[in-house]
Amino acid sequence: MDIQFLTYLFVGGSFVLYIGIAIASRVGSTKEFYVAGGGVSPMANGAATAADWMSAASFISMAGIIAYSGYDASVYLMGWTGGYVLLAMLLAPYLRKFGKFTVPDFIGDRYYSNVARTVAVICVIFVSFTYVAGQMRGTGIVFARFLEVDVDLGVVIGMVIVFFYAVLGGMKGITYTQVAQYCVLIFAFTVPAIFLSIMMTGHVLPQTGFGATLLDSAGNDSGVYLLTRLDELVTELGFREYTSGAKSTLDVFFITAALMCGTAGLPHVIVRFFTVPRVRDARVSAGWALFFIAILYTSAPAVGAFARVNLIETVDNAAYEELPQWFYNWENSGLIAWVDKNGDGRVQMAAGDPFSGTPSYSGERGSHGERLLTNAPTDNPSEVYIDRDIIVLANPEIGNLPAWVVALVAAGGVAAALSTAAGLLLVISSAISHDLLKKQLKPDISEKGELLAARIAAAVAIVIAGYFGINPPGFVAEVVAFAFGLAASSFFPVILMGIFYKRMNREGAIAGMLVGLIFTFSYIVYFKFIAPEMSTPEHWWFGVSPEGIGTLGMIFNFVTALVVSKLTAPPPASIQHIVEEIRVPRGAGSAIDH
Amino acid sequence: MLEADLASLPFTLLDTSQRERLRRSADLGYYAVGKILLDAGQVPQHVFLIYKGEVSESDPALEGERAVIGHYVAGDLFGGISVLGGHSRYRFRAEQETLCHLIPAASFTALCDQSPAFASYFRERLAEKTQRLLSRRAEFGTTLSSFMLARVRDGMREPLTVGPNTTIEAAVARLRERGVDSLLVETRGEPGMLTKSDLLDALTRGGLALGSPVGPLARRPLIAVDADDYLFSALVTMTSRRVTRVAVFEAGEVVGVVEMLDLLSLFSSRTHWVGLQIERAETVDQLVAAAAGMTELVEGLMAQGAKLRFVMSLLAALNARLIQRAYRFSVPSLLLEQSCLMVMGSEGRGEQVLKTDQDNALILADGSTWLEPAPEAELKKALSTFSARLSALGYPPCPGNIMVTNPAWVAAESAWHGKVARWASSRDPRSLMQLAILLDTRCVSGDASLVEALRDAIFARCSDDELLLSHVARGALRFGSGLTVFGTLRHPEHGIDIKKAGLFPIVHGVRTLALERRIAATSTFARLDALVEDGRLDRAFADDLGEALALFAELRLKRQLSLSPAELSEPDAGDRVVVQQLSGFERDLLRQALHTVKAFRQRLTHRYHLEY
Repeated sequence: MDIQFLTYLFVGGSFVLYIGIAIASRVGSTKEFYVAGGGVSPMANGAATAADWMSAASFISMAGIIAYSGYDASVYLMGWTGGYVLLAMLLAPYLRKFGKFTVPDFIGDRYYSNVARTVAVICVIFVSFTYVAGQMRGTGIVFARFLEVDVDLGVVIGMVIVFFYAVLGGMKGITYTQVAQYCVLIFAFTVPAIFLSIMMTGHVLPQTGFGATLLDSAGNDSGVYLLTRLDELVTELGFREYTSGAKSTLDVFFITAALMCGTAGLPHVIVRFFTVPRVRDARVSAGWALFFIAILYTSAPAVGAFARVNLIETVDNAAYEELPQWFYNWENSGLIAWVDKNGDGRVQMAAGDPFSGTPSYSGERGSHGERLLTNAPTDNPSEVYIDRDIIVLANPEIGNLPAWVVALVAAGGVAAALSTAAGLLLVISSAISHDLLKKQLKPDISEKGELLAARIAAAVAIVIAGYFGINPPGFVAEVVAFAFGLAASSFFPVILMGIFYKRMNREGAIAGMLVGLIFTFSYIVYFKFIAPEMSTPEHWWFGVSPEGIGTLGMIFNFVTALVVSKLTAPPPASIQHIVEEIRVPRGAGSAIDH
Repeated sequence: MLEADLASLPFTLLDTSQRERLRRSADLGYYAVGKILLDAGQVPQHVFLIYKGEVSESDPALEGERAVIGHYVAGDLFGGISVLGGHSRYRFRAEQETLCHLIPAASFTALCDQSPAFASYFRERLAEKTQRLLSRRAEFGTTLSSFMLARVRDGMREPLTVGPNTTIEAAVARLRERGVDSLLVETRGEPGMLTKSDLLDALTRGGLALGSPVGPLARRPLIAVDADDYLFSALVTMTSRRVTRVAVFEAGEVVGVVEMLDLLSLFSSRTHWVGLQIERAETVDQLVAAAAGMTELVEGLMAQGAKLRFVMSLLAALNARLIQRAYRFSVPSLLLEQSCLMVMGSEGRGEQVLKTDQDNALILADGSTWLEPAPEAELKKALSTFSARLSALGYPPCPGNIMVTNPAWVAAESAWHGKVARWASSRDPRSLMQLAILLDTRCVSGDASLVEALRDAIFARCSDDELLLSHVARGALRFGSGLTVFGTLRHPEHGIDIKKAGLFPIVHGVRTLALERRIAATSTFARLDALVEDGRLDRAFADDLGEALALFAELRLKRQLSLSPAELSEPDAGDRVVVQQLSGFERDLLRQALHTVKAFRQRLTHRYHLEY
């Protein structure tokens, strides 16, 4: 059976599985009334949370970024994992006690202000949007490769499928569907990682294989460590050492902090903490989720390193006509491009871009059968463009793994993108229809109207996200980082102080959010869009890159909020009382245990 | 055999001679399985009235499952619209061996010409047919049951009052003038009753002259009822005191008179009889005898076509009286003052049609000493007597042990508030269930303010907590909808569980909305009205929900009445409605009602974030 057939089988089969589970779980067979939510075990809920959490960005892009950027990419690992811990430990338990479902609702009520609520709604919508755009790109890449179409068409196919799946089909967040998606994606990610680890280092666990020595072609220990070999390979080609970073320590810290704090406000994951009725179960399920997430996150660096080694060894200085089939397939999807600058018919890898911009093909074939480009070539020796996002998907093929593993990875990529996109679309549609429309703009809207508005909002969100999926404004991970920076600088401090500082009032919160948001937004727009040529460490404030500036904005937000709240009237006594109460464990009050 | 079928709509719109003509012209036809009785486009020769078997109606232009539009079973009529329209739009096919009465098209059209009401019956669309049927029932139901719930004030007439010095002659003239049988004689602020027969006695046997004053003849003291009593308690007073009229007092003043004759003409005899027995019972045995008549009463009311909603409130009133009396027979009178006996669940909502389990609990006023060791023993003994008596009255003990014999459901007021706080914060399935049960509570005996205070405590803990509301609301989505993926009725052999598919989602969803909006009413219908008032639901949708609920309750009741006690003891047996046994009309109503439930679930899902 060829790869193509197996892919259809696996992707189709996984869909049948999700839909089957959704239908089966809807036709309740329970005898008991009222026992809502009692059936989902903390472990299952943890797996569902992990599926929500791990997006196409985690599944497809992260290992790719690590493969290319090496040490610098560790900010994503640290930021996103740390964000989860922060959310699970610091915020979710208290938000839960406050009794509000969404972050805007919390902010609106805690700061007794609709202005504050609106700012929060805008933040939520922006963060979710950028995130969905990333998922669209991810699904697009999967469909492009495995249906053998162009990546743009792949995105459109992905849009249609997500729309039917999430909006019309009502398959949104059904817990057991999510559990199935987690199982598919984690299998898809770890199976090739284990295969490669065994083949290259003899270790079963990719986590230990990452730090081990390589095997030579005869299967004997070569005594050379994987990372040493990788450093040799990349420096030979003129790249920076894989294990050293270009970013300053302060910048790394700031980016990590921005990702962490921004992530902690991710609305679609917060909701998962609320779906388990009992506090104890919620804690246990958060622990399971962390474990399930860690399986993927700890394998990712190894996957990135294996892929980079294999890629260089397979592609560099190989004759174009003798390359393996996957190279041509990805070229046909528009995610690989080659310009034969020196005319030797061989593919040379080197530091720097081979040409400016993303590939735009002329529609003709060159003398070796390659797709010709209209891009202006650069004058460095680099000849090949490989989209970072294909690393995980192409990895099994590059490593010559069996066809079914390749097909499994495709199903995994679709699962990761679908689960997160569905959750985010739900958040966007309810933020617009409920928090914005019903609570503020048009309170007399009927529930039917609200439902319709929610669907329209989801449809519009998919279209816009699809547009950004086709025309990504820079690298997806970068834009995602900006969105997180904005979230961190605007509403993270407000949530934190809303919980832990009862004196924080409406005026302080609004002033803080505005200062944080405007500062961060201006800084990013200036360095990324107005004067991109100035975007070098010498011109950055304190050497902080636009990706990490959200942390600085967050500090400004904290300071402004504290100063303004000191100068203005304290919040009403009822609010202060509530803030005190949410930090005291319930059930301990003397009024309760008569 | 045609007679029976002609006794229902639309034939009741015909007069006797028309019906007789119809009966004579009708023929009988037999159709084997698969035979097409009337095809699309065909000019119909007959109108069909099914005597036995099953016929499907389908649109040949459509494929497979979707093509089927309706099913007809015994007693259903089809082809009428086709005759009037000149040809049939659909195909009618025998699904089983079928026997039909055939009414020739010519005599059918002749009848339509003679009786416009009969003709228009067929011209109206199904929705309108439904509406008419329902409103006819509503009218009938109101007249019957509303008197059962009416207060004395609604059934009394103004008193005819005269001074003590009025002569017999003048008094008789006043009686004739007003067309009544009795008058009140006012003597120094104290009225007495004087009837026509009293006057007659005075003239004949007493030998008084026509000019004698009526003052000394009046009977004192007056036998009286309060204007706010139920009308049937006036009836009870008359029966037990052996008089035929009573005076009505309000705030110490006589404001009216109620006469036995007026009342008897209002009550259906059986309803009156049960109510009377309960009121008159002086021993537990008498109470048991009275309770025995209740199932029969429900059957009777349903047969008369009373609207279920009214039957339910009537039954709730009777049940409450029954439980109250049993309670009073069982416990010390001091406890009556210092506590509040609550009934919960469907009994609390007043949506009980047949008697079910004893769902009850007790709140003791703070400061009472009933939970100290010595009185507690007495209390326990009294409560277990009470429970045993309820069992004798036909209320089996609650399988979940939610009743006063369980110490967990007997507590002081402050302890109840503590329970509420604990349940609201722990949110496990059991706590949520207990909160829901407690929300549907009403007081049947004792201090009602205790229950209201408890309800307020629940609102204070829960109504603003979106997460808690979400967990509560989730219960409404637990069960399958009874509809297929294509929106048609499922019809499994063992029937659809309409308690799970219909009743529970509506009751529980409405309960959640009521909790959010702090609505104190316990009946689902009253909650729906309050939610419309509140702006939370639109009137049209609330009405749809109410009608759907009434339909489910009615189908369930019919099912329960049709089962023997042995069959009923099977789990869920009384909740299962077998679609194959319903008429085409009922099926259509059921399908529409289940779609209303589906729409309601969608709204709940959106409102309470239940997509996760």
